[in-house]
Amino acid sequence: MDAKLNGKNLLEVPVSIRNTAKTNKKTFSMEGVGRKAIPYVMIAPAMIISAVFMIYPIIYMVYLSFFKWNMIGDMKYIGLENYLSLLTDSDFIKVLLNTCQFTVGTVAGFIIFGLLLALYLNKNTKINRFLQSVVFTPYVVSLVSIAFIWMWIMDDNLGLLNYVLNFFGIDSVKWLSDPKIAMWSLVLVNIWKGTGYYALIFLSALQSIPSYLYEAAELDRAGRITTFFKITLPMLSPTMFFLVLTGTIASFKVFETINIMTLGGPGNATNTLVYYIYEYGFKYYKIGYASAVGVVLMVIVGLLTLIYFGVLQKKVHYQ
Amino acid sequence: MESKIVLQDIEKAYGKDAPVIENLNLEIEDGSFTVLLGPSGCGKSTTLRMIAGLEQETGGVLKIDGKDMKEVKPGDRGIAMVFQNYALYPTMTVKENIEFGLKNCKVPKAEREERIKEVSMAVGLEEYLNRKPSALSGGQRQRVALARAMVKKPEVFLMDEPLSNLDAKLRSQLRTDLIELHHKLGSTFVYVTHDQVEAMSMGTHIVLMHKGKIMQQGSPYKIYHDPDNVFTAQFIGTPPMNVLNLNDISHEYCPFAEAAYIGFRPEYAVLLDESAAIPETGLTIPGDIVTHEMLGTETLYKIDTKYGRVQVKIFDEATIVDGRVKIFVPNERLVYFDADEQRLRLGEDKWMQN
Repeated sequence: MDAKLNGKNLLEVPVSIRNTAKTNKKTFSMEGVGRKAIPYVMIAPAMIISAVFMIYPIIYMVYLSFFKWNMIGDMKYIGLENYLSLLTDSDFIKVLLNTCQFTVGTVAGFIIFGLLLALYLNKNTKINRFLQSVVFTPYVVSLVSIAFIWMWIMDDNLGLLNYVLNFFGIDSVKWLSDPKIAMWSLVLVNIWKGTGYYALIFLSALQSIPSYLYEAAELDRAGRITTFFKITLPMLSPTMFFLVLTGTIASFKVFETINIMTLGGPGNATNTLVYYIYEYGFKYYKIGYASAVGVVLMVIVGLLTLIYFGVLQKKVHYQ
Repeated sequence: MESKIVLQDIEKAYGKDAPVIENLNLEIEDGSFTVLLGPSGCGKSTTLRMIAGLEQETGGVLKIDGKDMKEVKPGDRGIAMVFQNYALYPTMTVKENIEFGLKNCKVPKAEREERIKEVSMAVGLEEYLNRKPSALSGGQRQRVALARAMVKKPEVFLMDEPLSNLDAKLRSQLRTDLIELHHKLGSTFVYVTHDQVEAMSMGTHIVLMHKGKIMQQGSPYKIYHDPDNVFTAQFIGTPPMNVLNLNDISHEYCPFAEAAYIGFRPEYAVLLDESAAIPETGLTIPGDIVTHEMLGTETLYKIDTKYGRVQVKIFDEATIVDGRVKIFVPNERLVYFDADEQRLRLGEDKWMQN
């Protein structure tokens, strides 16, 4: 689409050349073909990379999802059987629900803690400027390191968390080995890592709300709570919408934390879509089945993205 | 209820910097249309925002209706403000914008509806009540801002350059609307502007400010015809008063020994032929016409003299003069300033006779 547009513009610029091209209409003009090709050549590197690493794998994944294959033997076409077994597989349903639980918990945490932090940091003092970089630090650190550190903190016997609990006379909690708690522990780690980023985005949105609106509200006798819910929150809604959606999409694709901290366990308690795909693809070598799960994940993320762009276009543009 | 605003020895400083306003004393009469006029950075907006309570004065006393406003919140001062950039709530409809203040004051729904209907009729917004501000033009937005202020029935309207974001035609229309509104409501208007045309056309009382100080205040007539100092003389009037350094000029009729500057309004000068006889006693300076601008009812000449450039406004548009001329100003049209640029006056009320 863009390439065509560029081509058109390029054609329109040199008027004199165009005129000569017109007079030579009947003879085949190398020059004309060259000019038409330029924009395609320009975007070729980007297109080739995305074709090899994105478009081809996606098509191949959809193709594979109709086969039974263990990566070594012959591929056997089985139609929709992979998808049908997905629907009846209680493990898959459990994994899907786990993923939703993780996503809702993480995104809610991001939004609530991110907003609270941003509101707290909104006053522009020296300490706050320092704190801004402090809360952002976890976001910069590699997730792998963070996962290892938290694994240690949450260790049943030697962990810092349980040490502190015991110190106050509270019984140890099996942070990562209790099926009822493990998922929430992972949510906690992710919130801890990501909140700084959310706070920073909220903070910049807060600071872009013009101060005269608050002055007008003050003159209109709006109290602090009214001002927050009638002025601040509505003004933040576009940002919040953006963060909820990008957060949801990212959470649906969670992998590292689980791969390092729980391996999907205990039982299947912390298994999520991407880890499930990894297990089936690279542990059990059921490539067809893993691809079918991959297609489901792609559809979910794709739908979320569509919703995002759909709403974004309708979104009211303030002033 | 009276709503006289009194500022006593008001001082405003930001942080540890030198104060931007010092020893400001001002009385704004109940029911007046007072205009705070001055170039940007003169402290007029700061003064208005202190009256509104959006800025806290660092010294002095500010009273509205005899009550000290030190601890009184902006919402409780009986004022409403119209901002330069309208400051409408973008997420609310026009109606919600107007209603917001009433809701916060816990006005019952029936009365709210009644009052919204009334003001939206008054400013001509009935059809737009359900629109968002982003769907309105600049003029309509400023009407919403006005309606939002009016609906609260305040004693005092504060306006911070409300017309400066509008185009010239709309501005002149809203100017008329504001004058009418002032007549109708009878409340006190305090209006900040840097535009002397707005000040002269709307104000009943003009307060001219410069660098945090009041240079002169009074009726538009007095401000124009009887300037207290060179700043006022040159700020008011388009083109401004011609002020020349008197030391260079041989002017035998000067009544003040201490006079350092002489001034006259462009419209009081007469252009004479170089050789023509002087009709009466006054100031005569020779000069060369640089440009003339036909402005319809009058022609504006820019004339180079050896004392500097002088502007002269002539209402006889038929004859265009050119070349070398004599500028003549009769004695009674001349004003004098001392070395501190302060006005020198002969007797009281001399300006009244002119």
